Amino acid sequence: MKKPNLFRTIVMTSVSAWRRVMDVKYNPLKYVPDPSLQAYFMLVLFVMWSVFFGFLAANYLGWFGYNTIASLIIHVGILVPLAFTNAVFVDAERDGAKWLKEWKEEQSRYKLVVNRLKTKNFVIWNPNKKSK
Amino acid sequence: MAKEMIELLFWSLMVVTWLAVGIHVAKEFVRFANRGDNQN
Repeated sequence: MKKPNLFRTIVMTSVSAWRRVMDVKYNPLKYVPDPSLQAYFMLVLFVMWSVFFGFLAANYLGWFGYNTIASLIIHVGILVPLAFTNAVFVDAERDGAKWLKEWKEEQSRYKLVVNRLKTKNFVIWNPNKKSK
Repeated sequence: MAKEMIELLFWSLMVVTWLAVGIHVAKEFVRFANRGDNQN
């Protein structure tokens, strides 16, 4: 049983996390049948969370007169790599890329075993690990 | 003050838009160069 390496785990996790929040094809708004309503609710949520974090920054952190350009650079620096990673996965899914199939199969095999062990409170035995 | 804010908004949109376009083009370039039936 091969555990997916850290890089694969981080990339797959960040893509699924991104989709769970930002993509109406994957987030709970997928149950809303009308795309224009989905867009409307996304906009409402966007405004709500912006105001919420705005209040947090002002009232609890006292961020008045902060550097707007630095804020923009930090936000773009976080969002662009996430969106880019998602775009690479969208391409790979559309083109039926071999690497994606391999990554998904590896992840699903591992999760299957780990979840089964978890229900029985077992762990994967590693004979090379020193006991404490 | 208002003029500066609008100016900043304008340049933010400008930078973010062309950044997105540039990264998209770079991604498509890499994807095209690495595709299986590449004739180049």
